[in-house]
Amino acid sequence: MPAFTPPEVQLSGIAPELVLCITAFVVLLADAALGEFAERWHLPVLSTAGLLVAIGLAAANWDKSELQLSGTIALDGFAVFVKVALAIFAVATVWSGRDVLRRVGLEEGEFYGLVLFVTAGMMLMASAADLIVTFLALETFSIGLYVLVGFRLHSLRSQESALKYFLLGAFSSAFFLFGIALAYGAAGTTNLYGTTGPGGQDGIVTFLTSTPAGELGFLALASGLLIVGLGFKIAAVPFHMWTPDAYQGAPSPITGFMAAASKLAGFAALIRLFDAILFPLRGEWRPLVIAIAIATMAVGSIVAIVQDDVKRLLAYSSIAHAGFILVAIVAASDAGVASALFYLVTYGATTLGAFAVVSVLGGRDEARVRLSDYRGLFYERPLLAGALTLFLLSLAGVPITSGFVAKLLVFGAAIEEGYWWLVVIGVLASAVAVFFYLRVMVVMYMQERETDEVVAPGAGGPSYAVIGLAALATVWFGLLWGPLADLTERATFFFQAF
Amino acid sequence: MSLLDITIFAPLIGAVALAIIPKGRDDLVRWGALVVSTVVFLLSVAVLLDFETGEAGFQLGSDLAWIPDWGIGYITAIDGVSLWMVMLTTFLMPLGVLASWSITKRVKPYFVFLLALETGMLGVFCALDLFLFYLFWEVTLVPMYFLIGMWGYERRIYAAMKFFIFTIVGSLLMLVSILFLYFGIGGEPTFDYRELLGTPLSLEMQRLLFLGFFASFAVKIPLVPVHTWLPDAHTEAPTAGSVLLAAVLLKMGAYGLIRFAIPLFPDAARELVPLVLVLAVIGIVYGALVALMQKDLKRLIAYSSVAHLGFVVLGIFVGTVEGMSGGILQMVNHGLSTGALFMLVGALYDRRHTRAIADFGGIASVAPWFAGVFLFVALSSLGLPALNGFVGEFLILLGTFFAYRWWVVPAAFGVVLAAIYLLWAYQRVFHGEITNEANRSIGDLVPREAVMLAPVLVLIAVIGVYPKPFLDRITPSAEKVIAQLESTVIPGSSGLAQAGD
Repeated sequence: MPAFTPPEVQLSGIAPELVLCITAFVVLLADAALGEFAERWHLPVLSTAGLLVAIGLAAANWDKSELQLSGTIALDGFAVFVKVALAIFAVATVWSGRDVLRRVGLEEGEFYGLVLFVTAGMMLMASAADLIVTFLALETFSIGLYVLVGFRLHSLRSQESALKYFLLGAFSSAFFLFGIALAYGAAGTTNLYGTTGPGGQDGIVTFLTSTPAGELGFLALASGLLIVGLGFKIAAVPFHMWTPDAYQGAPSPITGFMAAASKLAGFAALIRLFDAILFPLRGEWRPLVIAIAIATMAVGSIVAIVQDDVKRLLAYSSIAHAGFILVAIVAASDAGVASALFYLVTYGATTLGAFAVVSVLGGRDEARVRLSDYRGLFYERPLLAGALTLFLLSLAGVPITSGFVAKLLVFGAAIEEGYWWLVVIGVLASAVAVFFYLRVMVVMYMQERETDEVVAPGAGGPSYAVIGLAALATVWFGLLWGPLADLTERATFFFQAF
Repeated sequence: MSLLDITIFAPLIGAVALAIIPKGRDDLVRWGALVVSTVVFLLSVAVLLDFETGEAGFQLGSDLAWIPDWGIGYITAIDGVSLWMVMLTTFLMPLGVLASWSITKRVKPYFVFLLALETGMLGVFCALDLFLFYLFWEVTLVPMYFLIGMWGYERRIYAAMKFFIFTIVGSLLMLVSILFLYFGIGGEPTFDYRELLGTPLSLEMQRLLFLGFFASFAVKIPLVPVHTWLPDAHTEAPTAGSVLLAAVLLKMGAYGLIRFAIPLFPDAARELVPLVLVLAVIGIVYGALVALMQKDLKRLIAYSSVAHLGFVVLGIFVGTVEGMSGGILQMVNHGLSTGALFMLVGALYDRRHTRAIADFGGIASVAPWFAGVFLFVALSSLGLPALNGFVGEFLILLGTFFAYRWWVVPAAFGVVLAAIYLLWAYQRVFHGEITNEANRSIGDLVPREAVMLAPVLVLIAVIGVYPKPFLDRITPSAEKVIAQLESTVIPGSSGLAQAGD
């Protein structure tokens, strides 16, 4: 009788996610157990510690290139890079969120706990090697975000935006699920790479290489639906309807988190699926992605012009940026993936900084987020206005900021693949976008305050630290971006090495 | 780090130093800006002394690795073209600071932006790496945007926006061309201008890439029909902003044509000469005609810039050494005379808070020195012999005559129109009876203004009488650019890679 051999369970691939989930529970328990005592620094410090451990565990896998947990988890440089970036975004969110929570008097423990759970889900997106796991990750982080968007309990707008985000998000999940079903119907598996050894099965990759091109129709259809599902998460047009409302209603640090991390997680899954797995099908999905990219760049840039609410304005800006990143997806090359990662990371840092400024200026209850509230800001808070200017210039893609380099790399990757005309459309869209970034600057520098009301200080050190670090990153990666660009190139290097 | 690099970054360091001066020390800020800009000018004089006359290639500057993996270097150097652009910039900056003495609101940020702008402008003229060049090119936009928008006149916000948007649309098209040169043509990618020279490119490719660069430079120069930002920006900007816009920022466009668009894509440039000449001549005549109609003195000078820059572009593209040298010299001349005109109009505005020609009249009787200086500068601007404008325009017309005989006719017509609009404006402002009582109290030039204008007047006369030291340094580089314009980089054709070195 053969001895029972327990299946080998390797957890190193999802160790960061596990650590974050455990930390989240600890934070929730500590919040309950410590009560009043937990008021001060314990919870954010605890959360940060968990995130740092997760970063360490993720980074330890940098050189690996393997599948784990029956081929459902991919461990490679790409996943590691995304996970580390996500955790860094989460740290920034925890600290700039803390100021808002204390100002408004919201529950702290739940906030940090949710941020940690959401981050864990996002991380899983990056290394999911099975469509079912991707879906699982997608739902994990989406549900957490629905709650976080509605976190300002007493605000009707926050409630409304959470409901809207939830309904449309559920809708998109259904599309994604349907896409998975079609992919399963076509390929007979939801696994991307397949597994080897006893009980091993083929993955979609194997299916693609072994099937004649004419018989891939269902998979092409599935890829279309998967784009729809992920398009919601990255806020691509025409799946962007929720974005302005959700961005406006959510607490500003969460808005920044959504713009930075949610986009990164969505794009991570998109990149793995399309630029790696479905690469042979690029002839089918490329026209669709091109159309979405053009629509996203155009709508995001044009509609932003008429916004009077800074958070809505930045929401449309984030839509436009999704369009620019999609240009890199269209390139479907290593350079394209690397540039998309560079873009996502630098955009994330910049937008987190921008929303941290918005959060600080919003005052209690985020009442002051209209453009007119920013009148003459430069003369009262020159440093904050200066930081916001820097972030806006970076979003506009003006040199010496990281936003310029990111656009340069993305557009360069597209030109390399012969899509110079798409790049021309892209630069024209970004020229339109310049207009609304300038509008904010006009208000801050060139108009006088109408009221004597003093801008509420409304923030403590952590928010300023986040703003300062984001500003530093924005300039640093604008001037000395070589190392980060190398890192993103290495993050694609292990990518298809299965 | 060479002396040239120190010159480029000294204003930025000065700007940072000004930024940390505590609030309420406005006089310290003003004097600080004056000292910094004067020191920068002295540094550039040292550069001028180091410059080897008769040498056509690049000299001075430095070549440092910046982001080596991407073929990006910190490469700076100057030749006979950029030398005078650098000198013009550093020369006008202290005068611009003096012209800004009347700024009383938000003094500190004003001078910080002004000095930051100087670093950007100097960088544009010295950068030989396309990435670095583009960086400086775009960076000049931001301080100028704030200078117009925060310290300008009534329609300043509109003007600042228009300035920024027009320029950035052009710049972004140039960026696509730059990216294409880097990513799109295979081989070892580099942003190094010296290595990119002579890159083989088919005619169709050259045409597209040339148009990308041309879009950016045409907006900046500006050529008709993308000139419409200029009258607004020049009119609404504070005095120093107008001076620098006209004297230096516009030259960035013409300089870009000479430095990048022609040498990199000579075949396309040759092919498109007729188009450019037509645009240039339209600019000359149209700019002059519209200037004639202006009721606002500042707007009049702004449109005269359109006409003058038309001359510069004409000279650059006729394909003769005379034309090219004249075009380059005329860039300096226009900087001096139009810069001085804007300073004078700014001084008038400080006194009367109006720029409308109709509000003046008979000023010469109460401010004779003022009128004399204005007349002198106007004569220089309209090309009176023995003053600087004549030398440049004469060379351009001569060069044009050699190559495209009949194009001289409309261009010369532009010179006549310049005499009409400038002298007519002078007459309406300074001559006749004082009809408006408020004008009786207009004071003559104060010492600060005299100090600010005197160096310009001296240079105007010197270039007019003895332009040799200037042309000696310009001509070798002009000859080189003409040789580049006549070379070809189409693969397979003879004479390939002549454009190099």
